[in-house]
Amino acid sequence: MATAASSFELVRTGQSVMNTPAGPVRVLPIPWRDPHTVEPEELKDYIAILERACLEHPENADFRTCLGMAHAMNFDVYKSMDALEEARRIEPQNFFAQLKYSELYYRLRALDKAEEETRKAVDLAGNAWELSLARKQLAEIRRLKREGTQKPAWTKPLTVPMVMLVLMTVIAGILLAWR
Amino acid sequence: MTRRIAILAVALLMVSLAWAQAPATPPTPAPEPAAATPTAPGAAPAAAPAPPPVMITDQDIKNVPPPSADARAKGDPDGSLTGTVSDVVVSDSKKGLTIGDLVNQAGQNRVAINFVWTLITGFLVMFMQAGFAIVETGLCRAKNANHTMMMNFMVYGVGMLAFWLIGFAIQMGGVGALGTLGGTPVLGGEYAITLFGKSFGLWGQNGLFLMHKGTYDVAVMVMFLFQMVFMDTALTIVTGTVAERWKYAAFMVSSFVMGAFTYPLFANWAWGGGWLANLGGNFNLGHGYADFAGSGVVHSVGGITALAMGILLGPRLGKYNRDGKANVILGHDIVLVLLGCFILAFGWFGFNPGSTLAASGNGALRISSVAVNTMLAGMTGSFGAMLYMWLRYGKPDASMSGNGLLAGLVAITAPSGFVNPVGSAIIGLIAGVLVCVSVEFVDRVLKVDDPVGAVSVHGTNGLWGVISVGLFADGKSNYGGSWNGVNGNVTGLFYGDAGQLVAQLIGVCTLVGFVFTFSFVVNWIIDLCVGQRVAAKAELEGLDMPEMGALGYPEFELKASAARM
Repeated sequence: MATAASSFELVRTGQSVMNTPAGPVRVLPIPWRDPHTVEPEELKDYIAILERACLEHPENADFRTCLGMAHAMNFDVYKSMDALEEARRIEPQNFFAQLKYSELYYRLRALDKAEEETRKAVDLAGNAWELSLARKQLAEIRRLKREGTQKPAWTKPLTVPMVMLVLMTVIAGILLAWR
Repeated sequence: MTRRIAILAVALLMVSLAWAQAPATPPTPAPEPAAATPTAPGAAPAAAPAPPPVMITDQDIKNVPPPSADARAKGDPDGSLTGTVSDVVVSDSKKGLTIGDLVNQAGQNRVAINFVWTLITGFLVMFMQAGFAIVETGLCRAKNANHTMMMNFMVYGVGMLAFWLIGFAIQMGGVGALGTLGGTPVLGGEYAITLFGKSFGLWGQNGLFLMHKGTYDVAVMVMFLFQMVFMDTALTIVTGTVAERWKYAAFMVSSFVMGAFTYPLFANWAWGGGWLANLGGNFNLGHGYADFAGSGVVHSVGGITALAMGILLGPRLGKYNRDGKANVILGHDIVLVLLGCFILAFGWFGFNPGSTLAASGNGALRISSVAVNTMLAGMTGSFGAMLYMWLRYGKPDASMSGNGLLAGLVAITAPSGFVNPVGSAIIGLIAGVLVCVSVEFVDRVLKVDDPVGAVSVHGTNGLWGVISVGLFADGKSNYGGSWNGVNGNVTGLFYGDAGQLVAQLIGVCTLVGFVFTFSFVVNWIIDLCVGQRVAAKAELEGLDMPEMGALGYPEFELKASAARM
């Protein structure tokens, strides 16, 4: 706990952590009031601190969640994905890990996946505020899906159509040659 | 149950289409006429010997009365006074109208018809750029609309510049006389090497800037315009596959190289008198590589280059999960997509029938057959794709129906001049199914992110079109008695010529082997020099502002536009 506290001091964002005496260290999902104005150097430092914190607390899902968010802010999508997936693995019931994971897909406009993951976040919400966050995101995803041009999600095996195609050509060939 | 009925219906359609070609009973040979008098097709044999030919003299022509000045002064509401003997150009006013003048006028009329036909069909093909632009834009996200439109807009200029400076000379600089356009011989500089005692044409040498070695010529201008818009079609295919992540500067460089070298080289081999066209003459493989309007030359070159670029640039952020599973990324306007497909289908009436380069002489009246084949294949292509999606995924998917239409049109492009309507319907139907299977394969198995399906529509179905010439060509088309310098008609495997199929397969191998490798290496070098892919920040924000400095839809509310979490 002491090590984690020292990490937070380095961040110099006292409001970004909530150290409850009895429970685990919780990091609020919004470390900055305006994420758009964070300087790149500050972001880089923050990522470095979080990576160190993750090494020191490998089983802390909140640090992983924050790291995933920081990577996303740095437009490092796949590192963000890795960190958030790890957070979910460590603590499957962690609402923010799940919400931010789903938000990443929402930002990437992979809307089917985003909707699927946000629904899981809705199920994990522990209070009205969390529920409203997840439901608001879900509503936005559904609006985008409704207004977008749907493309097919390819989910079925290719064997049958391949065979069908070959058969079509062969049958046409036989009939044409036989005439 | 419904699915079984639908599959049965498709199978029955296939069988009936193929069966429709077979005559119910063999035709009974007609009795030989008493005298070997040539008759027009369908005319009854002449019973009596033909009268001796009547000699026409200059005096006879001079006796043909022009419309009177009084009659002309009253106007010509029924058109009977316009276009008479008085409109024939007289070369020597002292001599007056002669037979020589008439003959020259007839020759010029024929070439004029061919010029006008080729130019107008070229204009139609040029309009296809608009179709490509809105299809691609509609299938991409709104935040990239300006960038996607600008790529499709400027590819026209960039490609034209490259083709005018270099590409045309490489492609057509050694094609020889342009028969249907007046027989001008100035494009006769093919560079060839000799292997196995045979000549292998590699690239043309005349026609740089359209001024070089006498190429400032009216027929060459017609040929340039028509070939230029074809080349531009190939270039614009690539912009679809790498949309939403291609750096604009790299796009300019890459498109220039493709318009100057990649496309013209293969086009020379196929259309410019190069080695693929001469496979028939050199190795008795049918009529050599036969690609009537460019399934291979235009669409496969574009589609295969697009595949190379898709691999080189990698997928859009978020397209694939860490486990490799593909995500669906929506487009933003299906209305644009389907409207674009219609514009493309309209433009295809320039693409295929225009490829006769003539409407008069040399069997060019087959333009009607080519146009109908084009329509039919497009129709069956859209049916094939729609039914496939309906049966497999429960809905007649709009974007794939549009892609099915385009796939049918792409596939019929090479065989349109050589097949009959039933053959074209079958080719289109197979293309419609093939495009769905191919999109799925590229997306899930190859893991190449292709937002618009260009690799499948143009690459895969372009190759299918090339192969289908070797299968379905019915040996009934005769464009002046020979094709690629080999006498007789192009005939596919199903009609008795296996050699043609071999020539087509060599073309396919060349497309896959040469075009893919060349495009990949060239674009890899461009990537090293310029960088092909935009920064992740720009990609997530949308390319309109970072790359173009203006939004495609500035008055629209793009909710949740910030990429940051």
